[in-house]
Formats: sequence, C-alpha cells, structure tokens
Amino acid sequence: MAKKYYTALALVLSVGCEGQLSLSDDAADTIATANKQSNNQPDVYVEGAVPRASLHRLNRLEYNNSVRDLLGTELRPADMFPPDAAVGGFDNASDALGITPSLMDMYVAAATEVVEDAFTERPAFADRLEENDSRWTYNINRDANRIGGIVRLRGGRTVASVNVPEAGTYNFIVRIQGYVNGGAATPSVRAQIAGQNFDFNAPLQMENRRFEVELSPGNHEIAVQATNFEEDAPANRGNDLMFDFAHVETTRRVEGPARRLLLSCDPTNDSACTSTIVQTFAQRAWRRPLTVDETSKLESLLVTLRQGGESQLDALKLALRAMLSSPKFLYRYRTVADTNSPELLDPYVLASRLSYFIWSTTPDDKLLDAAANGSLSTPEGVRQTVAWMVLDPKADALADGFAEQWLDLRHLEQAAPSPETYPSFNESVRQSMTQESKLFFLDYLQNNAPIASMLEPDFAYRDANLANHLGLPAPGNDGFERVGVGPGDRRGVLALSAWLTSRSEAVHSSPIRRGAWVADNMLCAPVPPPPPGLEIGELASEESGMTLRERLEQHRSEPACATCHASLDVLGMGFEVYDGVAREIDDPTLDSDGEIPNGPVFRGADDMAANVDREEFVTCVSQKMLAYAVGRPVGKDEVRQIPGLGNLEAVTLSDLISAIVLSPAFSQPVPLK
Amino acid sequence: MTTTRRQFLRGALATTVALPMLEYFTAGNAIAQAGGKPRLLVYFLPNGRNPNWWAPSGGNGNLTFPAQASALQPFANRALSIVNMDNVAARNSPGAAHAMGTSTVMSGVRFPDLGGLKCGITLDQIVAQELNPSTRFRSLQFSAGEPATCDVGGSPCPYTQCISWAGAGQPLIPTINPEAVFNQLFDTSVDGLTGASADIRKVSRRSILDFVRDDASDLQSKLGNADKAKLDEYFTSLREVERSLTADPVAASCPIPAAPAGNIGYRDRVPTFHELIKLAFQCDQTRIASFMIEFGLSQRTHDFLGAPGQHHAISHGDPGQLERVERWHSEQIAHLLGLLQDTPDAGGGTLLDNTLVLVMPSMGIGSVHDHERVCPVLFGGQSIVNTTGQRIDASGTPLNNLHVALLRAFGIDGSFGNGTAFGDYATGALAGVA
Repeated sequence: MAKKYYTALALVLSVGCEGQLSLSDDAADTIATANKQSNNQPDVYVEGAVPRASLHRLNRLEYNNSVRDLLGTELRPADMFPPDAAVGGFDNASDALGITPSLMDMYVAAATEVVEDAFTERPAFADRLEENDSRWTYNINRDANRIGGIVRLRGGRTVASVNVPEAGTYNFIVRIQGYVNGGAATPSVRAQIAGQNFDFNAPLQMENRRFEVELSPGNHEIAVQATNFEEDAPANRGNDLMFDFAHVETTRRVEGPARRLLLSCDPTNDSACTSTIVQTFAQRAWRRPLTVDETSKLESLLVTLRQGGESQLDALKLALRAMLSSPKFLYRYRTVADTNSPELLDPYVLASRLSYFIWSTTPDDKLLDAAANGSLSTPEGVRQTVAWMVLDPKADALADGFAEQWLDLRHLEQAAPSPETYPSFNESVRQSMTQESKLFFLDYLQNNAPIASMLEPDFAYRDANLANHLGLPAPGNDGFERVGVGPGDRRGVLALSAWLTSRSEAVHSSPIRRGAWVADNMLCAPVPPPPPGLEIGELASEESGMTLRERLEQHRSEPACATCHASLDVLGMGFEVYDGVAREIDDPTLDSDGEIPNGPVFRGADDMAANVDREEFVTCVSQKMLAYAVGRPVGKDEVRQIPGLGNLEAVTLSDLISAIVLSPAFSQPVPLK
Repeated sequence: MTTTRRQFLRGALATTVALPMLEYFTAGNAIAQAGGKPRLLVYFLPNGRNPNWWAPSGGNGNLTFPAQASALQPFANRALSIVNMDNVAARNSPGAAHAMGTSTVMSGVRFPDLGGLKCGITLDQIVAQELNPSTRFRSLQFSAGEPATCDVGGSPCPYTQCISWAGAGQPLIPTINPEAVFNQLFDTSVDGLTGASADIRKVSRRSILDFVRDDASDLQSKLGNADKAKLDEYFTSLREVERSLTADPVAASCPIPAAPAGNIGYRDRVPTFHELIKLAFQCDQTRIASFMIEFGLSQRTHDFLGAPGQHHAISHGDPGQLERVERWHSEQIAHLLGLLQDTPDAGGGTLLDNTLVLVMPSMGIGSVHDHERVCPVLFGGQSIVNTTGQRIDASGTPLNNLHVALLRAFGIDGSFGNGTAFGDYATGALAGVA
C-alpha cells in the first residue's frame, strides 16, 4: 500500500498555500506553526482551544430529540427555529450556539406546543402520506409539478399502499384543492381506499375531505385521481387539482403519551401526585438530581399557579412548560458544585455529554442510573456504559448529527442539479443518496469493520432508485440492500453519491469544490480562503474550445491562486469520472487524471483510495468525530491524546467512540474559567 | 409516522393552505401607531452587486436607475444612492471574501482572526439599543435564505448567515420560516383561552417566567465566570419575551391576515417576507428590522428566472444568468417599497415616509470580490436622510462613514463601540447623507 502521499498535500494546503513551507519532522506541528504565522487560519482550528464557556445550548436536532424522549411527542418544533451556526463543519459547537430574543420566544411557544401535545388524545394508529412521500407512485412527473408542499395532479393519479395494524373503522382523509380558470368545469376527484371509491367535486380552498371506511388488518391500496382535467390554453380555460396529503387513521382513540411517560399517578385532584410528577420530570429534563432549593421552588410554583385559579392538571402542564424554558434544560453546563473526580467529570455532566454525543438526546433513565450508581465514576465503567449505548437504537442519531454533516448530506438537500442536464435526478434519488451515505456510515457501527476500510469496503448499499440512476444493477428487493463489492466496483466513502452531487454545480461537476471537500473532510487539510482582494476570474466556458483541465489551468494562472488551486484542481480532477449527479461516465478517453502532490496519478474513487495512507485517514475521521463529540474544533494535538487507539488501521467506530469519551478533551475536569 | 413537521406547522392555524401566498395578505385600512424617528430596515443582498446594473446615474432630484434596476425608477425621487464606498474592514480581515463582506458591511469591524465569533455590534442594533423603542419586539431579523455551504475557509456560518449582531459573539441569526415569523408577530392568543380563563392564564404565564428567571439566577450563581457571562444572553432574551408578553397585544385595527405556510418556495417566500415586514411595521410590532434576501455566499438557483446556476457560481462565471438574478432582486426591492408606500402610517404619511430602508450589498461587483466599491442605496425616511433623488460619489471613503452619518441622523452620537466612532475605520460622517 502506498503511504504518506497526502501528508505532503496537507502541508501544501494548510499553510495558506503561500509557499512558506518549512518542513520539519512532524508535519502537523509544521502546519500549526505555519498557520499561526500566515494569519490566514484562526488558531482555534489548529489548537482546538478549550472553549470560553462550558455552557452548551441544545441545537435543533438535540432539542427535537429531547422533547421526543421526555414527552413522547412526535412534533419537531425546532425545525422552525433559526438555523444553528456551524463551525468547523458541525452545528453543535458550543461557542456558536447562543440564545437570541427570537429564539427564546420560540422556546416558550414550543414548550407550550409539546406539553399540550403530550396530553392530547389521539388515534391509536395514524399514517400520513405527504405528497412527497416515497410510497406514492404518480403517473405524472411529480417533481415537475411540485409547488411548495403540494403537487398539481394535472389529470394524473397517484397510488400507494398503507399498512394498518388492526381491524376497525378508519378515517381516510384527503387534503386537496381545486383550481378553476376561465369557466372550466369544477375539478372532480376520485379518492380510493381498499377498493372503495369516493367521488366528489374538489373544494376551491385547501380542505380536508374525510371518508369513513372499515378496514381489515394488512396492506390496502389508496389512490387519488383527477377525473375531469381540462386544459385549453388558447381559450385561457382550464382546471387543476392541488394535492397535499392523504391520511389514514383509526377512529379508536388513545390517551397522549404523557399518560405512559409522566403520569405515574393521577394528578387530577392530588397535589402530592402532581409534585411527584413534576420532580421526576425535572430530574430528567435537567439531567441531574434536584437540590433542596429546586424542589421547594418547583413546589411554590405549583402553589402559585393553583392559587391563581389553575386546575391541578393545568398547573402541572404549566410547570412542565416552565422547566422546558429553563436554562437548565436548554443548556448543558458544568457548575462549581460538581463532584468531579481527579480524572473524570461529575457523573451527571458526563452522562449528558455521552448522551448528546452518541444519541443526540437527553439521557434516559438507565444512563441517569449509571451516573447515580457510580458506573460513570471509573474509566472502566464509562467504557462499559459506552458499549451498551452504541448498541441502543438511539445511537443511529450519529447518522443524523455526525454523518449528515461529515458526509455533506445537509448540503445535498440544497443541491439543485438542472433537470434539463440531469433528467434522471429527482427527489427520490436525492433521498436515496442521503440514505446510501447514512447506511454506509451506520454499517460501521453495527458490523465493526475497521474505519480504515471505509476507503475500500467489501460492501455497498443500493436501492432500485439509486441503482437505476447510477446505472448499476438494481437489487431484487424493495428498499436498500447491502451488496457485496470488490476492487473495480463502485464502493467506498470516496464514491458516495451524496457528496459527489452536493459538491457539483447545477449543470456540471466541479473539480474545485470536490477537491476542497476531499481536502477538508477526508484529509483534514482544509483550504484557506482566497487572500483578500484577489481577483477571482471566471472559469472559461465549454464553448472556449479548451479542455476542462486547460480551463482550470487558465483560471489559476494568477500566481496567488495557483499555489492553492494547483493542488485542489488536480485532486478534484480525479473525480471527473463522476458527473454532476454522481453517475460514472463510461468514457476511457475522458480526462480524469487526479493527482496527489508527490503521489501517483489516480482515476476515480477506488484508485485514489488505494493511495491514501490508512493511518492518516483514520486520524482525520478521529479529528472530525472528536470535534463533534466535544462541540468545538480540535487540533491534531488533541487527536493524538485520544488514548488507547492502538493500531489505527484496525480501529473500529465503536473503539473510536469509546476512546474519545475517555480522552482529556471529552471527560477530563479542566478547571472552570 | 402519525404526525409530521407540517402537521405541527399547521396545528395552530387550521385555515392555512400552501398556496398561493399573496392571497393570504389582504390590504387593510388600519394604520400604525408610532411617531418619532423613522423606522429602520436593513435589506441585504448577497454575492455583491454590479454597479452598472444597480447604481443610478444623475442626482439632484433626478436619478435614473439602469435598465436592470428599472423597477426601482418609480422610487427614484425617494432614493439616495451612494457609490464607491470602501469597506476597509472587509479588506483587512483574514476570512473568505463573502464571509468578511457579509459580516462587516453593517458592523465595520475588522476581524483579527476567525476564531470564536468575532464581529461586533451592527448599525441596526446600535439604533435599537439607543432608541429603545417601546414596541413589542425591539428588533427582528428575517431571511428568505436557507442554510447551505457556509463555513468556507474556516469562517463560521454566522459570518454569512447574519447581518445583525448584538455585539461580538452575539449573532442574531434570522428567522427563515415565514409561518414562525407570523406566529411570533400575531399569535397573541393566551393558550387559546378566552374570558376569565384567559385572565388567569395571563397571570400564570408571568409566574412561569418569574420562576424561570429565578431558576436561571440560581444556575448563574453556580457557574464559572465565562459561563456566567454567556448566560447573560439568556437573561437578555428572557426580558424581551417578558416585554412581548406584557406589551399591548396587536391593536384591533391591525389587519392580521391568515398565516402563510411554512414551506413556501423561494420565489414566493421573498414577497411573503415583504408582507410580514410591512405588517410588523404597520402594526407597530417592531421599528427596527433586517432582512437578507438570501444568505451571504448564496448558492441558490433561480430556475424560475432562467438562471439555473448557483448564485455564487454565476457571480463568477455567467453574467447572463447573474443579470437576471440581480434584475429580479431589484424587482423584489421595488415590491417591498411599493407595499410601504401604499400603506398609510398612523402619524400621517405612508410607511415609506417613516421608514428608512438601507439596501446593502455584501460588496461591489462579486466576480472580483470588490470591497472597495460598495454601492448602498437608501429609500424613504426622508425626515432624517436626503432620500430625495440624490447621488453621492464617496470616492473610496470608508463605508463606516456612512454608518456614522446614519447614526447621527438618528440622533445618536459616536460615543459607542470602541469609544470613538463606528467600527474600526470611520474617519467622520459621510457628507450629504443627513
């Protein structure tokens, strides 16, 4: 295996690309020194300075998951909050997470919504298929007819299958609106479920239409169809149907999740019961045992609310709202009263850190018990705790928090490949690309293959959608399948379709952006920004008659550009075999010669992977994950302090997580500033 | 899946529908209830602005906008155009050009490095602090943008996603969801209660906030010093919430429309935000706002304009597409100005008469990241600014001098920030503004 090629690349890229290399024995130290001197990179990214404050606000994902686990709600109120600022690639950096008046306003409102929801009776079973649900099959081009969150049916039909668990009376609800222009007929609709037809004229405002049906357990076909579509452009006459969602729910009602999760007794006329519920909730929401003072203040709040005229139940709900608006819920924090041991943080602080790192949510009772019974007070106990935490399904949140950002899935959401240039790309393909990357990442959590093998794995995930788009054999079953692959096959982290697409332009690939992404996320050698005042010329168009390589060379002809771009461009060129939507181009004459400085020429992901130093790659993944774990950018020096990793080529994701939580950056009680 | 995000969005507002947007806003006859200094709206444009398509020629009461900005011609005699302002702070800061342009045009602060969150207080926030209007919200921040690639070259995302800063380390990240903005502005119901129950609940909500403030103080007393300081932002925010709860609710005369949907496409989202800004002013919910039509370094594609390339990419590579985007931006600004002009203000005149709209591009022409020729245009608010069809060639005067002039126009003297003048490079007030 070739070694040490991109160590040289890291050097070239990290010194501000200004040619002020002073090679020393230790590459990383050189980088750090050069960065400080060049003034082009903030030292926080090099040294990973301890953040100014330990106060760590929940980000949107963590907020949603926390209220889900505390109250059983499926609402995701944080989706409406302002975006969380990402620093160094992750949106959980404590320094960047603040509270503004607008956000505080939304916290207060969200607390009301989720508490109310937890106490609200609901159907025992419900399934909503939004217009973009992947289960729908449309006989029109859905993507071409989507406006906001609805689809113009244009005479078409959409069909899906829903599975209901129990026999009974069901509500079948279709949300739809008719549109009429120039005296055309009122559009009519046929809604179908389990072979029953419901025909009606579409309302001219968006409305829910509800139909009652008896259903047996199992799969049932549902469909929505426009039955008198009209379009007469010369006469400026026509009608259309705007479809929003279909919804199936049983008429059998059950109590809200608060009954199961919170109401250990009946608080209706029982103030002692209410107090118990409130105190139990406070310990979970605030992630620590209550102090005497806290208990008494919660008690006086209940008394005040009751004396003001609230019922016992309303007083309970209001107290829950108060606890969810408290900084003790909204932030993670350390206090001067913590009981740290010489080597480990206070067990409750540690429990919260572990929980938000591995699960992106609040500690559950089992984890809080571990804090209480001393399991989190010894390194061995921490290791054992982590071992069961990574096996908990909640650990899939690492795919939502870590992998979504590391593998660029959030940027894929905003990518807008041109439908003219790339007709095979659509919303379903986008979803499949996201899923491919997440499944790929989670496989390493489940199957314990070494992280190093992400470069040349023996498996890949595909569904029919993605396989058809990429021109690969489709799996036989519905959904994603883990398929075996080998050398020469499409495989590995460098060939994942999501980042290749998100780092492309609308109508073509982008060697520059791909080169920058690989440098930052695979090699941990982020590219500094262009120096201030630098003239950024246009990349010549294809019509210039020049090859892409020639156009890139012309683009970086300015010496100030050339030092960075010479490395970036040729790195990205190696991925030219993938077009702007990640399809491999079958053209042996295509120029896709990528170069790693001082390394061999490579063509495509597998070829580059063979030339990447495994230890350096694993170190980079470790650096990214450590930064995510501690909520701040970290330097290589802190990565080196991760204890007990041993042979880097053999390290698994679970090993890494376990080692990270015992590293000084994560669990050592540095003095509070 | 029994519930979805959109069910939540719609939960409180049963009448909400997903399209079309503008129908939800019916023109009302109510007039706002404010007086004194004009309102301030900062309207931000990302990826720079080509002066040839943007900055008007002429002056002395006779401005002519270029063809690409012809939508603004009806407002020419309500405008003050300033060309060739030098954003010295951006040029002398180390980060990527778009991050530095976006974060310095309103703060004027040089970034010594990119660590932590530097920046400093922005013009709009100084005005908010100094004038401290008694409205329900002291200031509001909106954007029609969506988070995308932003932490380029080591610049944290707030450097491109934020145009208002309460101070270093305190970015006021804008709200991007129109339905959330609507709820914030107009959902003043008391947990859906009426009558005596509502009166009880009002008191209870105060009790909750009292408890929470007390609880926060308890926490603060146990924190390390750095954390104590950071928790101040929580107290500040809590005070604003208390203020919005205790301030008079939206006046009955205010024409509250049905709520917009939260998931409106971009093309309709921009004008929807314009309507919300107009309503926020008209109903006197705030007097100071900022709006980013998109975030700095925006990669947005504009297929509906025949400009499918990513905005930032075409700003460096495709003048044809870029021209369509910049023309559309001018049309959007005209849409907002039209709304303000067509709405009577309580104290007399129109909203536009009593609102200073500062349209601020992130830089001059984007293809060369030109921080030396920034061309802001001001509209309305003529009681304090010469928005009477004037043009000032600043000839490389520091951009901060415009901010100093505007602060003085608002009656705020220069003893703030670092003690002398706005930001790091002001040399005085730009002549001819006030």
